[in-house]
Amino acid sequence: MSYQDPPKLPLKLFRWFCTEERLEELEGDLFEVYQDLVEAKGSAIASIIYWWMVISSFRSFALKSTNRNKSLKIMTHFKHNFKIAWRNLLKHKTTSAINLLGLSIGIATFLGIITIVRYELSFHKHIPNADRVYRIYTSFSGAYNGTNSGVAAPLGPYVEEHFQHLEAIAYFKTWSSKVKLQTEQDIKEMGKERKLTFATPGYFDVIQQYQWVAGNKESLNQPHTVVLTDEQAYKYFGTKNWSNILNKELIYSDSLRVDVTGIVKQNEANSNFNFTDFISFPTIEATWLKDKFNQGWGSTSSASQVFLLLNKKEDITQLNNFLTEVDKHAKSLDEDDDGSWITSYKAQPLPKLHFDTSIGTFNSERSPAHRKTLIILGVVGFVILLIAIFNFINLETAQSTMKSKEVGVRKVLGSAKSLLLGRFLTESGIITIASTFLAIPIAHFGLKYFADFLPPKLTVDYSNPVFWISLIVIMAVVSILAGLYPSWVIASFKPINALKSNTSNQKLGGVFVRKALILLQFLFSQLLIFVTLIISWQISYMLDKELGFTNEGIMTVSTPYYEDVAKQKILLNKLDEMPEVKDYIVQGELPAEFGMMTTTINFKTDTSESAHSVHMKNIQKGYFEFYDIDFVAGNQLIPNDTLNHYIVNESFVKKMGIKDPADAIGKAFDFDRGANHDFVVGVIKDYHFQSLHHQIEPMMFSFKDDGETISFKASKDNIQTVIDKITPTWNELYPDEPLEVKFMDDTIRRFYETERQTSKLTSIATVVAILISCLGLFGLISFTIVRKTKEIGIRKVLGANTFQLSTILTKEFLILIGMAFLISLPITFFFNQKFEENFAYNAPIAWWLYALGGLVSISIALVSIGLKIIKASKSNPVNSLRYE
Amino acid sequence: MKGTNLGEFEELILLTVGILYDNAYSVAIQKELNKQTGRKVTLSSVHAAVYRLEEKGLLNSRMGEMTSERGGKRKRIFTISQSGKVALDKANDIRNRLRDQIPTIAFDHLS
Repeated sequence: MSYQDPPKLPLKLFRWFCTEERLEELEGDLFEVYQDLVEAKGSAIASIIYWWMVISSFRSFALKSTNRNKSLKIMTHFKHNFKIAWRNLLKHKTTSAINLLGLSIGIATFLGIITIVRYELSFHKHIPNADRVYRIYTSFSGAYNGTNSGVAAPLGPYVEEHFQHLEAIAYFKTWSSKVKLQTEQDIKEMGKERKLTFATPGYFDVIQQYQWVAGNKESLNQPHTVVLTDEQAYKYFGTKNWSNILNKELIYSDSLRVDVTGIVKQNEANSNFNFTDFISFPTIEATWLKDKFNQGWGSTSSASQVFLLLNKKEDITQLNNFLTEVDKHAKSLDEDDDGSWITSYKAQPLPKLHFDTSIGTFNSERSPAHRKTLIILGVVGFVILLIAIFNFINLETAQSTMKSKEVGVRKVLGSAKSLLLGRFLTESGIITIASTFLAIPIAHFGLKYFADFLPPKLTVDYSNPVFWISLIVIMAVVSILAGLYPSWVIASFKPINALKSNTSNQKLGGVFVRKALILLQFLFSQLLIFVTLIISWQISYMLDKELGFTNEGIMTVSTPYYEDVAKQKILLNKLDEMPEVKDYIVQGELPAEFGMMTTTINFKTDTSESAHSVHMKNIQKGYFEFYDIDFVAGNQLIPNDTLNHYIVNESFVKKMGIKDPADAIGKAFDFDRGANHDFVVGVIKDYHFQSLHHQIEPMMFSFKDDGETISFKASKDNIQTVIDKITPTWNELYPDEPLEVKFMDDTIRRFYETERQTSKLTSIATVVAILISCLGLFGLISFTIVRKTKEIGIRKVLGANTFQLSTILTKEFLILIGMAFLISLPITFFFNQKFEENFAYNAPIAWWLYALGGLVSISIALVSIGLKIIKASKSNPVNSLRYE
Repeated sequence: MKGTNLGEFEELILLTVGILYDNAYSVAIQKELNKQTGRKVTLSSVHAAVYRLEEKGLLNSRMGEMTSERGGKRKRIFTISQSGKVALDKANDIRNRLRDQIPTIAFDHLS
């Protein structure tokens, strides 16, 4: 007799809502009744009744268990999983430790790096209306190309008067000076303060990051008043009773007497606006400061800052138009303007302030963050986290063979795949959570350890909920990324295979993925090794390269430009008296330094006339001897600055179109004295006056009797003596300025600051990446050895020696590392090309540098697995064969 | 628990399980009840009752053999447990005792 299947839909519905325990018998009952009904009443009616039976079975006896029961069940599962996972971790202590360590280092590095990146990105986020705040800066083109973060002094008041769309405007001067405190008995020295400013009340309307704790901003409309930040006030007066501080007197720079009329508290948030003393702006006009600060339109100073808050965001178009008008107005009022360059004012949005390296922040502030470095940093952090995760996946899947029996037994006993997944995810979850918590102290002390080249005040912000939330996110993502794949591999073992006795010799899946992951890990490490090698190769090349002039053992001191030359003479006399000083010279510009004067000349031949942009330095007699720069033609300058004689470099001569430098002597060009009234009297050998990022460009030297920079030579042992000897004289002459002795080679080293920082970062990253990769390798080789114990034993019995055994064990890894090396080569090559584009002068990468990189990674790998392998190869075969 | 007191329907089910000895599964119980009492009992109320009785411990159960007339599904076969028997006996006793105590005179007006 044939049976008719009941209708599918109600059956499906029934199977959906019916509890597993009773599904079979109930479904069977329904089936049986249905068959009877079909026989008695035909299938149509039977179907309807079948429907009815299913619906009427929607009663408690058939339903799946309720939620309460379910959550209880989950708790039981969880408890069970946790216990088993815990036991398992304790059982495999080495692997657990390796997993924990690798993952926590990876997470710590990532945490540290996102802390740095977040810190840099957090600047000025707290200032309300930051999207409507703009700074006005100055941009020059023509003879002198560049930008200045400040403006001409009259610009601020001019904008305030003539621009309609302002909600508020802040113009202020940054300043540094000694501070003294007037007490009833005497005057107390407070030392030099560098974050002073002269500000209008408008400052507090534009930069809204202050709370007033005493006094008010209107007091800044009066001359001789000052507002302090609470920290600064505490530093001066040693009390937090703010109202007591009001009306106390401070003395700036010996004679500027002002009264404290307000105390503000600055937000904790990160900001480049870290001024401590706000002296009222009208004080400038009322004192001798007038001559120092209030110069005309022709003088741009980075101390003069203008910030404004627009009415609406859209008003930026009006502002830009207005600034073009201001350019014209300024030009008409600038008496010094000779038309050789164009000054234009531009608006910089506040959010860009912290990142624009070409403009800079304030005189007293650290230089802006380098966006490119931040991006590299972010990528490196991510890669390291990835390596750590790969590591984890590798070790877990490798370990899976050990777990095959457990999985087999569980499956036979009816464990569902989802339950098994949960079981193994719990294990990876425990490790992830533990490593995340371990990562916090590692990151904390790591940041402290590397504090030298990190921005100040940078610490992990524990009070920030965002930090904890991101920690939880990392935890969740890592445990899922790292745990899901291995758990899935393990949970999909076929029970029959898993329970067979010889599984330990079988490859149970995930082998390909595992190999791919090792490959990737070593690829990343190899790349980082190469990057580090290349960058340090370039840096050492640049630092060792003969620049064409002496820079070692030369110290420089700059006397304040606004002080009298006579004072400098006293200092020079002092140097004359010192036997330790071998030689000294005064000049306008050093042979190599950051700033650069650029001008335009016209060069006329019989047939053509051409304009060129050339650099210029003002020097004194003896300059080229002092720095060992050789002449290729012509003579020294005659010490007379009314003469129109110039010394030029070889590039200058080439630019003029003259082949032989000797021919250039006596040639005329037009600089600033009209047609062909300036003459070349000497040609020097080309030397690098800029960093090696740049080609050697045309340069001319003109005689100038005075200059601010003194260079002197002294032997290494005598440097301190010299400094000690001139310090008292200096302090007497220039009480406002601290003595700053710079080393020439230091200055040159600082040309490559960015590269050096990147190099430091990549070397740290490389060490971390190698460390994690090697940990992983160590773990993997341990497993391979355990799995191959018997094989090793048999081979030994048959006469294999230690070397042959080691080869067999390492072969697999060496192939992977070799492949990683080969893949990394073209990528490195590409990186090197991109990197070299930054420099006009490159050290060609020697082939052995690549070989060295490969050798480094292979030997590190061998060292990390070598001990294990040798131990395994030397083990007594009796022990391993007795294994069963 | 309401104790071991049996409801009327429960008692019927229990009795039927006893009658069907070793072949007492839901569909058979339903058919037997229909036959013996002439009541239209739905399958789902039989299900509800047997499971409840099992939970009370008055019925035991085991899974039967697979048969093709049930689409390859096994049936659950119920048998009366010791406490089931006690409950049945008790219910029977009470009913009989009470019935016996009714004086004949009480029915006199009916005849």
